[in-house]
Amino acid sequence: MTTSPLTPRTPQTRRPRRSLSGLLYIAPFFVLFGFFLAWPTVYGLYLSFTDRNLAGSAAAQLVGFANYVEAFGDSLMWRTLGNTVLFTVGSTIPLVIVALALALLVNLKLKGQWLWRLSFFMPYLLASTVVSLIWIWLFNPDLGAVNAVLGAVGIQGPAWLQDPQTAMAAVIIATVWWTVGFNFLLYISGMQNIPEQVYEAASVDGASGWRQLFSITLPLLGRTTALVVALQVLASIKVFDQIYQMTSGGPADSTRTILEYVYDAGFSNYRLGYASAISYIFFLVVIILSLVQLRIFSRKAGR
Amino acid sequence: MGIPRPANPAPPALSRRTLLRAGALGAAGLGIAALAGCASPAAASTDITFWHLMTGGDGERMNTIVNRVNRQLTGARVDQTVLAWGSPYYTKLAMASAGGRAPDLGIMHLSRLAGYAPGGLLDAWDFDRMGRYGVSKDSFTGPTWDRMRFDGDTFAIALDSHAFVRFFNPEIADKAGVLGPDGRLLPTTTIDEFIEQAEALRGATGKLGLSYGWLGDGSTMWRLFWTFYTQLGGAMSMTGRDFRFDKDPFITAVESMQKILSSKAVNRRSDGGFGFSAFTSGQTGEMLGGVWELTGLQGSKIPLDASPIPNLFGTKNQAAWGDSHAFVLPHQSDPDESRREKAYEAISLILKASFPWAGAGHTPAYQPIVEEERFTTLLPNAHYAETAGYLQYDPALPFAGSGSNWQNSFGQAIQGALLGTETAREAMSSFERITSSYAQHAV
Amino acid sequence: MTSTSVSIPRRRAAVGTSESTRSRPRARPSTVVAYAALGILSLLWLAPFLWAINTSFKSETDASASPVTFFPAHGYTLDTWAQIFRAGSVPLWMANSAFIAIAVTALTLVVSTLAAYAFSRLDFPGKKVFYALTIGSIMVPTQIFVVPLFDELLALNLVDTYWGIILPQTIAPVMIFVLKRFFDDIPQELEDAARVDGATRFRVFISIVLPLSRTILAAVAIFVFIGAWNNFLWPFIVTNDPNLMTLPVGLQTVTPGYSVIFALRMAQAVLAAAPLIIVFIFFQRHIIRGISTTGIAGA
Repeated sequence: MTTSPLTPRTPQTRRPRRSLSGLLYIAPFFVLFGFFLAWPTVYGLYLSFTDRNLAGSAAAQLVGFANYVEAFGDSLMWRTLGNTVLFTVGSTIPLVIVALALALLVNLKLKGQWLWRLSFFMPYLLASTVVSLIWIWLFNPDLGAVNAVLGAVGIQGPAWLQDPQTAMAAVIIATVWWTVGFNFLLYISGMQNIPEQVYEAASVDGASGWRQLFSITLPLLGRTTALVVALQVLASIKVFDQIYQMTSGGPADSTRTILEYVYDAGFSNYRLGYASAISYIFFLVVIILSLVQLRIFSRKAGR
Repeated sequence: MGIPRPANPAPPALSRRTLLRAGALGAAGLGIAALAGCASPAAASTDITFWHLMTGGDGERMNTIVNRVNRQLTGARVDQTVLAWGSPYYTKLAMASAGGRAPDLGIMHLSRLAGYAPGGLLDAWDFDRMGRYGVSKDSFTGPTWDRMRFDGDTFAIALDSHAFVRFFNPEIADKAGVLGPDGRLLPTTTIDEFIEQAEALRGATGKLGLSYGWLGDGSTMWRLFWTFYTQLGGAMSMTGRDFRFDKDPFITAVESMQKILSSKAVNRRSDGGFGFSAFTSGQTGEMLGGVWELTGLQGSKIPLDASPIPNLFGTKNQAAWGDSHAFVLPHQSDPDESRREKAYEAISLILKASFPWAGAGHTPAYQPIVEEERFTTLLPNAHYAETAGYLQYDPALPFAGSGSNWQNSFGQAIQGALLGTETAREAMSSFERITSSYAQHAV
Repeated sequence: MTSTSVSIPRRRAAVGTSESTRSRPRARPSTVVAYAALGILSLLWLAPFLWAINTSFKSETDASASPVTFFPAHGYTLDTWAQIFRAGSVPLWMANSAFIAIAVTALTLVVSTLAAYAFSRLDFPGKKVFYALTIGSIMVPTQIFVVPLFDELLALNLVDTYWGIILPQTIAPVMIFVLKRFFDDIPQELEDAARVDGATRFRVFISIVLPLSRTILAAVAIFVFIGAWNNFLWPFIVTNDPNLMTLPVGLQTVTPGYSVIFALRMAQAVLAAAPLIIVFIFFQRHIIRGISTTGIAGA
């Protein structure tokens, strides 16, 4: 929220003089940027055209587009892209809906606000290793709490993380638990920005609570939702930590996402050149996605 | 929302100046030595850096041995660093060697040697030099000595051999009527007999008979598989980029595993934790596992004995999966000769002091120790020490070996078959596909 | 702030003020339902962590008991916790995490506020290009250049050093974006007045703009701190030396391939989580306010 409608932006009274001092201000950032972001990105692109291997003593040789050709022909690479899409869709939907539902409930201003907020946001504070450790334990087929609870109601729980049918779902469940808190807070603050008067006017007109929800709250949360979805999608396609820690991409590649594959190829199989090529294919996908999102955003803003 | 009110106090701890101050203090307190000395290799001249991956019971024993050796070693000190087991350890070792920041000594599994020796990441041991400290070819058994060598040089010195064996509870076995008069399990010579014995154990416990904690663990799957496969006479090799293996033994081995897992005596989807706790709580009468589990098992105080996994296929090949921990010299372009000499001395002392290592379940590789009476009367170690004579190491392929990614991939390939959702044939074609990809890109 | 009641009809105008007042819902069935829903969901969300805490106070035998029970058969014990403090390097890892997180936060704040101020107030050659680069880099997933970055640090001799862990994490284009928008909203008159009186641009920045930005700086600091504290991938790849391990990385190394240590693992997980949770409980209001003032939500 930049400004409320009541305080118009004051026009700038002095145009800044074009000088070089600004460069000094941005210099620290761009020095770091150059060293630790720009250069590796460019160098990575170079690596993707070589056969660099971590364990080999031979120097890397240029191999042209061989890595890319191999990547495009690598069925596992496509599988991991598919898994990434599956994970993104499968996690974004609950992460948005559940966050919204939680925020709506908490926004009722019932007593105990600190407890609700702590409960739902607290997992977000945990490191990925902590989350993975806890859920690996919870999902243990015979010693874990999840199957124990299911067993208490007569359901024999599956081998969550070892069965290819359920592994992805298990990872998504853990992820939703872990990160819903952030979206939840975004929604809370979005709701707090809806002016009171709108609801009062609706009440005077006789709109019921549910009607208010669907006709006022949800539509006015449109921009928040757009933001939540956009951020969530971008975050989901970059998923790595919990997958590497909980399943290492298995079982049977059912949870292997593209970044996990990059790590595997580069750091476990030592094929750095090939891993780089896959990363750049992925980067391309991210750029396309981001541009698409930008388009959608700007179209909405123009409305 | 737009204009912040200056009266808004920020939490004092988080103002920028305080953060900077805290950061500076932090640097002074914690990191200044590291920051200043970061560019140079860490060890002082009398410290011999030693990386290994032994944790748990193994780790405690190694600690005992290293402390003992440090008391005997003059003018130097072995400084151990423990890293996590599995492929991250080897990746780190490779990265450290490649980056010129290698430790003085490392531990490697003999089964991984084929992947590291040719790449120039290791320096060879000079056995003439070693001889001065009392260690020679005769100090090791045949299979072990063979795997210590690569291309005419000795790149590793074995500390032990550790096999995949059968632990059992003699009381439960007795109650089930499968304990022989010599205190050993009655012999079984086929898979069916083996399963019957497990079911008898189940009768005695009332719950299950056999623990095999394989779920989600490619290494554990591999070890039983490899035991069966080599008992059937199977082998794996690579010519050029061509990977070769024996199909019939593969199918039979996997199907045998499937049979065992389908029996009522076994919880089909048992992972390592469940298998272990079922055995130590008396729910099962036997457990298939690695000898390194000994410390944990003894800690649970149940009646315990062990034996090799018998040949269940009627062939003449007594075989058991096994591997060895071995000492290697990560490559250094300009090694400090006096430190190297101390490393040689340290290794010889470790080998001679390696009896406690048997307490961790391993069989010391240094033969003089194995021949001593205190070892031959050590139980249950003495009951499976024979495995060192017919140990089947992993195939000598660059991507194979303990903790290798390929072992994980193997697990991925046969997991469906073991869970009962795929056939052994399907598992084999997955295995073939995955392995040929490894073979194509082997360095 | 807004008081959104889903099911309570608002015939009275009593809740009409725009300041935040707690509404006092009467005890209607719908309120009870709402409380129940919140209670159940809250318990559901806390349950995994509570289960971890519960497990950590059991002996290993009880923790791996089958069938699973809530209470340990042999009673609760402190043994597992004692073991951690005896054998583990958790204090070292925590110290590393703290030092690194603080350093990353401090550096990021300095670097980002300077750049954001320049983008907001100053004009200089290439400004548009630099800004586009900054915003564009938000889209770059950091994992894609982990490999070349590692190579580069190797060449610069920064592998296995604190700086190697810290420096790459100080690049936060999102924060620059957020800070710039915040600075844009500060009216220029305050600064102009000071400059007319002879203050330099930099002085104005330090003495006027920054103090006015306390809330946003706090919010940025908190997010950067959490991210740096919990970062797993980068410290994992760039450190071999166990003395440099941060908490997430160190925890990863205590999962041996064999040995049943469920209670131990849970204790380590709880211990790793505790610092940030404690911080959150103390700064809850600021963190939540921080998200509001970043202006992300309402945009």
